[in-house]
Amino acid sequence: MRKMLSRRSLIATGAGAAISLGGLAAAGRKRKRAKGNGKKKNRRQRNRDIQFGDEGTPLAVGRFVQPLPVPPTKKPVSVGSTPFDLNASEHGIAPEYFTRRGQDNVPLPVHFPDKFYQLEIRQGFAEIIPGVQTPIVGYDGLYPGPTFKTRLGEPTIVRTQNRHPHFPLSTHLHGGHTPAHSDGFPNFYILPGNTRDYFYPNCVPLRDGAEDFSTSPSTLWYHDHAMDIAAETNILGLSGFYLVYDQLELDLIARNVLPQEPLDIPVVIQDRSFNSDGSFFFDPLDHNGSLGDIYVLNGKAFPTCKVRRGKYRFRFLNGCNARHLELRLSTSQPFIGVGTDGHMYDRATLRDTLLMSPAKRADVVIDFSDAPDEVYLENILIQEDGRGPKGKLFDRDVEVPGEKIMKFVVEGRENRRSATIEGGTPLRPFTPINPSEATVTRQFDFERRKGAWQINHQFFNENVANACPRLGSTEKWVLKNGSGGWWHPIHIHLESHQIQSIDGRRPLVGERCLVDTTMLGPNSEAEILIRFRTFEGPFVFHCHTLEHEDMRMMFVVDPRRDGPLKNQKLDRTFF
Amino acid sequence: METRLLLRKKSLWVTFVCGAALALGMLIWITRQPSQGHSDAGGDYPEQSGDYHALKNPRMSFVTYPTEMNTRVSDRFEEIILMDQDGDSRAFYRDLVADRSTCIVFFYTRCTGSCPTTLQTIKQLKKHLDLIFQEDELKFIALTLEPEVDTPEQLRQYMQDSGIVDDPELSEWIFATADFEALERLRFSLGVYDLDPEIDADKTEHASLLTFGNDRTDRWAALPADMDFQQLLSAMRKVMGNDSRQAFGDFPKNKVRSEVALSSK
Ligand SMILES: [Cu+2]
Repeated sequence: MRKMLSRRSLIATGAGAAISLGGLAAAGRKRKRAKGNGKKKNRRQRNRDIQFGDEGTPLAVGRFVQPLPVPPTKKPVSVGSTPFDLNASEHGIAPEYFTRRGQDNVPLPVHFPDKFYQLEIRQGFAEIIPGVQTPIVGYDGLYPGPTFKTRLGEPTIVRTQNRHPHFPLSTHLHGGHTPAHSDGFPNFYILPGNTRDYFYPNCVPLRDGAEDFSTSPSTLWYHDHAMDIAAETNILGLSGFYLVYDQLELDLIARNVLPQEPLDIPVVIQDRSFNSDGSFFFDPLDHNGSLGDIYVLNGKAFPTCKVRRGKYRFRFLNGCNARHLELRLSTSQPFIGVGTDGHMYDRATLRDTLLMSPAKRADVVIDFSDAPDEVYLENILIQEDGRGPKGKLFDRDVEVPGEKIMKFVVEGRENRRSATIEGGTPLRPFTPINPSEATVTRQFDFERRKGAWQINHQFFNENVANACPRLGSTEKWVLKNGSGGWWHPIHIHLESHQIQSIDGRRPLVGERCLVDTTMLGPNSEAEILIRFRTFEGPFVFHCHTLEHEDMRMMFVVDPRRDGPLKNQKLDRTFF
Repeated sequence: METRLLLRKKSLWVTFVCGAALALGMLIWITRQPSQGHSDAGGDYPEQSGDYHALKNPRMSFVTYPTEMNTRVSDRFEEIILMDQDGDSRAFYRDLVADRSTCIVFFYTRCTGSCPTTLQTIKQLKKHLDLIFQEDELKFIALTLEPEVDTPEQLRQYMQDSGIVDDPELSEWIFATADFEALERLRFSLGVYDLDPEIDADKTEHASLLTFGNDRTDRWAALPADMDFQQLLSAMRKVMGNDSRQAFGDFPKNKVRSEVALSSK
């Protein structure tokens, strides 16, 4: 490993010198074109001692030997007072930071002083497999990134510096209700060496002048959304949790309905493959969607989580590029569902399994009170390539028992202070969106074409606002998956949505409240209702199989005052 | 990163050799740089305007940075011997891809659908990229999907008919054929295939996908040729660029809808 690194840097340095000399020669006069330069060494020979992870990781990976870590909590640099010059960041800050107003000049609800953070994107190493150092790119150099814990109504400013040498990056707060400047639009970059001040008001949209707490989010995550390379940056490690607490959720915790820290654990699940030198295997030319054979949870391969008998809250995040998961407990015991994606349910709902496409979250409580000493978390879904799981959305090929991805070691006597949540416990009051509210219907067809991916027969175009709903309005969207055997999880930025029907049926248990990502199976057709409030665009919606997103399966949604419109020129950008 | 790598080295002398080579390289590199804001590649960037307002260090080279991986994407490309339009043998990786940026497309001369459009797009891309890259930093490669028809003579004729001329002062564009099985292996190793064998058998499916990358920086991507031209060009620059000027130079400026201007404070 060390030897290889030295060799790599030698190669890189040599190459740098070579261009300079070449350029010097060119500065003079015309050169003859050399065909078949015999002096070039065959790189294959240089790397002959490395085995690739494309057919499975060629390393011995011990299972259930590492403890599950909890990502560190991100500490603010300042509360209330501005710790840095807001004019000094190359890519600026959202205009809404100064105005504190949303659509029609309505003030953004603020309940707490501003909180300022500084975040750095940089290269580093992580020990994901015991004894193996893997080069990563991480927020603060960590894999996964630190967890932000914030309050609803607490304006949050994150000064993010991109210290990666050549990736232009763009951070998206997934599930956030965020100004367009700070939403991670694919080409609103942080260029290498530069900074951007992300402004997250942490507000809920206003409805009839009052805060709409039914859409208050809990479990968000942040990840890179840069054009063309979102698949690569996710593999390398650019993701982390961002949790928001509102009064209702804090009350549920205070009343011991929901378990509280340290019994509330965010867990990002990622599939990765490694090369024999410990680096991640990633093929940027695998356009179907990359799969890995090693399950990595909070940055550790196949970890073990020690628990006491009692209830724990887990916020599972599918952080894979293309792998869908269906989680199950080896005891066949159901999960107590708390929420899906960012949103808590009306009532706690028992779920036998947790079907999660990339980017989806399952907020659940597991009751270990009567559990045996060992319980495994399994993935039962069969998926062989980037197309998606075998079978259809309502008829999936599964195997039980599935692949064990994490081991719970259950210890001790029952915790007498265990949380009280059970199936049916009231959580967050939710009034469904009334279909009659929708004033516009739009249809979007998701298809594979010409070796890439299209929506309505168009490739993503960063200069075209494909859908411009009127700010403050509700729309009905029909999401249609036309392509053979492919799954496409469709994620819409700015607001969560409500699935009215999918494949002519009621949505799956767990998808019946608000979601920010709708899973489309092969030939699925979903009808959803979505409101567009508070912030003008541009935002995007796209397939969250990141390889499909990079290959242009993405559209712009740009809420405007003069909507509804479609196919407008994009006239508001924040580079 | 750099420091960390140096610290990890077992043999310090390697460091000195590297450092000396780097210093020499950078010295020569720097001395031939024109002043900032000018193009040294033979012209202004067409259809783009603005300055490097967003970039702190517009001349930062990517090549002298170690990449994250010890492996390279190109390590897994099938190495095959191609025959170009002049009948010359060229090893795909060693002679064409190694240590430079490349844009690769599959096509066939009898194709009347997507291929002519795709090749016209590449012609336009090449015109722009030739202003940004040195001729030896860049190659364009068109590989036939129908080697049984596309002999070197056929390819040369096709180039002539399409108005593609070889100018030694510009980057090279070769049209090449090889053994069918070898070409298929290469195509799959470049990711230009469909999982559905029926769709994969339709050659036109592969003829509008551009695969491009830079073997020096180990960055690769592919995009459909009929997406928006300027965005395709800018994506190619980002992936194929050797330094921040080639990758990001002339970044666009912000647009702000007039009624949303920063007013109330
Ligand atoms: Cu997709």
